[in-house]
Amino acid sequence: MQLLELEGLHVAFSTDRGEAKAVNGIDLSLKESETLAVVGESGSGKSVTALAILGLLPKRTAMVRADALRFDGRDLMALSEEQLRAMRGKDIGMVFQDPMTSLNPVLTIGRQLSEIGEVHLGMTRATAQDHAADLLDQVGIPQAKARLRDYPHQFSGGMRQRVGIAMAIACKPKLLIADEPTTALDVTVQAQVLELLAELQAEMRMAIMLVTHDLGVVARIADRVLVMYAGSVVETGSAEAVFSRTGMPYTRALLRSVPRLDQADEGPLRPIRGSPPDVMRLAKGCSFAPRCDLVEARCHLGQPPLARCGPDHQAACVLVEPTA
Amino acid sequence: MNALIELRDLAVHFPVHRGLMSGTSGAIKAVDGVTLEIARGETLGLVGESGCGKSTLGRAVVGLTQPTGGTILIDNKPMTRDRRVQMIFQDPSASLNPRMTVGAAIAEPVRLNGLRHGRAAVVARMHELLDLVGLPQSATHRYPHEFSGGQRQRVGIARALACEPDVIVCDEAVSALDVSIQAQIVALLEDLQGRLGLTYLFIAHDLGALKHISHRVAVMYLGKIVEVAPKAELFANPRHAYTRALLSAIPVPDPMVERQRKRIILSGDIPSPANPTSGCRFHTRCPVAIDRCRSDEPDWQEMSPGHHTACWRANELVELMPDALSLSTSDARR
Amino acid sequence: MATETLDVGAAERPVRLALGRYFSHPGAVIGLIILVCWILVTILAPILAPYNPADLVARARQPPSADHWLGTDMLGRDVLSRVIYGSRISISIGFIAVLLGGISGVILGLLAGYFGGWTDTVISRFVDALLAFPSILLALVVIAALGASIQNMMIAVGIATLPDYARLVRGTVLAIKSQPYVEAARLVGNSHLRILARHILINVNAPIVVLATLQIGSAILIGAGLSFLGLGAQPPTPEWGLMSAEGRQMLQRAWWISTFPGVAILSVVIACNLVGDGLRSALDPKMRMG
Repeated sequence: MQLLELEGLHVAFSTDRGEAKAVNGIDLSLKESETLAVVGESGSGKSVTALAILGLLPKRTAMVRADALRFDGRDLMALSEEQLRAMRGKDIGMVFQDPMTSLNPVLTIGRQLSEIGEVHLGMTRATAQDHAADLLDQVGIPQAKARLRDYPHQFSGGMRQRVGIAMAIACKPKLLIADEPTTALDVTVQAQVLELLAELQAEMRMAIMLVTHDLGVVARIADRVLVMYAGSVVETGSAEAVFSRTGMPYTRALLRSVPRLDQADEGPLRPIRGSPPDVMRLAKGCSFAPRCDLVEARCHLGQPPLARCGPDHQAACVLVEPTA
Repeated sequence: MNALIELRDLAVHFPVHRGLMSGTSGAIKAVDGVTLEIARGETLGLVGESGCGKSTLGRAVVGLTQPTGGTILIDNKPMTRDRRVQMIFQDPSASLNPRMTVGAAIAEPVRLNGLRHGRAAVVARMHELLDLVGLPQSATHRYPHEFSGGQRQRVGIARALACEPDVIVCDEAVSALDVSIQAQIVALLEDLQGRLGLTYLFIAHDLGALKHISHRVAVMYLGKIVEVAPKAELFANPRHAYTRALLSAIPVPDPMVERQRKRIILSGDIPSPANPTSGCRFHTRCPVAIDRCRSDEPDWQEMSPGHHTACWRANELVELMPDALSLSTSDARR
Repeated sequence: MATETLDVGAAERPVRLALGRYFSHPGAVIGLIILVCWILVTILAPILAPYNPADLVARARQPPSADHWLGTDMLGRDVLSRVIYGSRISISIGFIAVLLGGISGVILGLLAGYFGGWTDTVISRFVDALLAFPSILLALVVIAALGASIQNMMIAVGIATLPDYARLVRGTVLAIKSQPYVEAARLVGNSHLRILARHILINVNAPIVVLATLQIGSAILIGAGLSFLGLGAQPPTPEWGLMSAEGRQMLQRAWWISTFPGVAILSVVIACNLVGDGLRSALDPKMRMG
């Protein structure tokens, strides 16, 4: 059974310059203890998608519409603001690029962690304290008990992200949504955090939705991949299929434009020309057509739908040979 | 070696003030005794994590930060701030004056340094520079906010080129850009080097772009260079424990390779450069540190021509920290 | 290498966007209309005023009537004409004082923020000392030293408003100084003076304009206050503060003598504040696109 199911998500923002179509009808689903990576460049709509699932987009400027949004058998769109908030803290954990967004700078880490235990899990103050120490220990913070008395600014960047993860997993969520959780970290610290996420996932069987621009991170921890471009899903499938039998020219070009550390000499770079499209002014055809090396006349006719191009693998390109 | 830029025992220490009355107490040793050479037309990649001092080193080379020790030589003469050494900054939006048109930003250095005389000659040069970085002449009268990140970085490159420099320090010049745009800028920098014979100091925390553009790579940790080698040699045969851990930490965009890799996960973060430890600075996080690493600072030893490292266990690393990237096996892929 | 096609978003000029934001505030538009009207009045005073402001044209203390719309004062001068001519003096006091205080404050702030060190220490202490006094008191001290006249009053009001500029500019410069574009400007060979003028001042001008607009209101108010106390304009000059002062003893019997100059002051001050607030939201760099 799917843990998270999202169908036909549209998000538009009203801005000074008019309506920006950030997400244009995307579907995604996620099973228990599965890691789905949502990959894209800036402006692809990947973070907006995550925030839309969490119901965290600003009500005033964002217009969110979806055909279905189900989590753990419940219809999230039917929930009240109050119920959504309860769910966000408990069944869905969140980790952001900047852990300070989820930490209160004037409260100790211990206070913030034990508060979650008291509010969401109905613990007494003493058990919540122990629970908090266990959590810090679990995310690999040395001398967990002593550090409960520290304030967020007393932790280094990597440790702070660990605290952020501890907050997110405090209620043993079924789903963890992580938006660029390692982008601000150094590579050796990133490796630690990714390792930690993988361990926690194996232990708690939670599903992870990882939003990132880093294809290396995706290759390291994702089971399934969703590639976004200009607000649409252009390719999706198992990580192995997407990386080794790439269907969409955009994904292929993206992979080619990343210099590979594991190859002695990769020859000249083949960058993608141009820049990502302006979501204020999307053309009618395939949004990647203006930058694509394989562009044909029919690419400009309409956005090609996702077509099956292998087992557990779909791509949105007119060149994809659909397989049964 | 015919070095264009030479750093000899370069040090940049920042005083730490504690309280109003106590004055100076201690120093942050951002750069602590670095000796490096860059040959004319060469790209030296400088890699390290945040706080290792790589940006401070770059700022000292262009003269934005005053060294507190050692010397910087350019063409065997002590360096003073000079149009021949320019910088490309990390954040293309913050490095352009928001109220200055692109044309004005590029023409300014041409005029200030007296490189062209007369309005027509300056404008012609400005158009030449725009063309060189792949921007149309119509960009002249536009403001930075009208451009994408990649285009702004091109403007920053044109402004640096307007000074007709010999050396360009690229301080995280592509890390703020989208993946597809990074490759464009790296390709542009390579193209310009070929045409103009530029020398680059390419500073980055991300090894991807750095590996592509560099001829030699230097690895920095807590204010010191721990390993320098020709690029292919460094990636194929890293001889410092930190370099090996760093390479192992970087994920490769291929799930099959990733599944087979052996990882070296370091514990902890980079310690503060305010009070570096004795011995090898990496010993607090090093998985293979021995007593000697804690007490004695490692000698600078040459492993093969041009490959230097400062690690007591350089000769045993292949067995101690098995090859993380398995270069040879993955080469044939794809 | 292939020249990339320049694909930029709808190329709206910052000026047009700012104007759009300004005119979306009704208060700002009303303020601007009032202010423009007053400026027209100062220019067209000889045409608009029905009488000479110094002439005794009727019996004293006449209430508003068809002949004298705002009545006559205690000497029999036409209040409307005096308010119209008074705008020339009161409003120019505001503008000139703000110009004086603004220019010197901006220069001090630029120097303190950019050079730092002892330059900053000396300037900041001086500015702090000025700030320790309420502006009206400061202006009083200056007048006491220089003597009472309109020129000295402008200088006094200028000095009184100077610290606000110096502090604002110093703070903004501190934030801008470490921006990479200022460092880049140094690297490509700009002198300190050029950096200050071309790269820093141009990026702090928006908050300065906003502050100056707001300050015109308070400068007019301080000026009127000083004249009210007899330390600024001297009789028979038609100055709004002075006119209010002259009528204050007769407020019960002839309310119009004091009230109309007071309303004039009020309308200009409110208009300046409305325009200033409008400019603030129009020019706020945080709201700027890009």
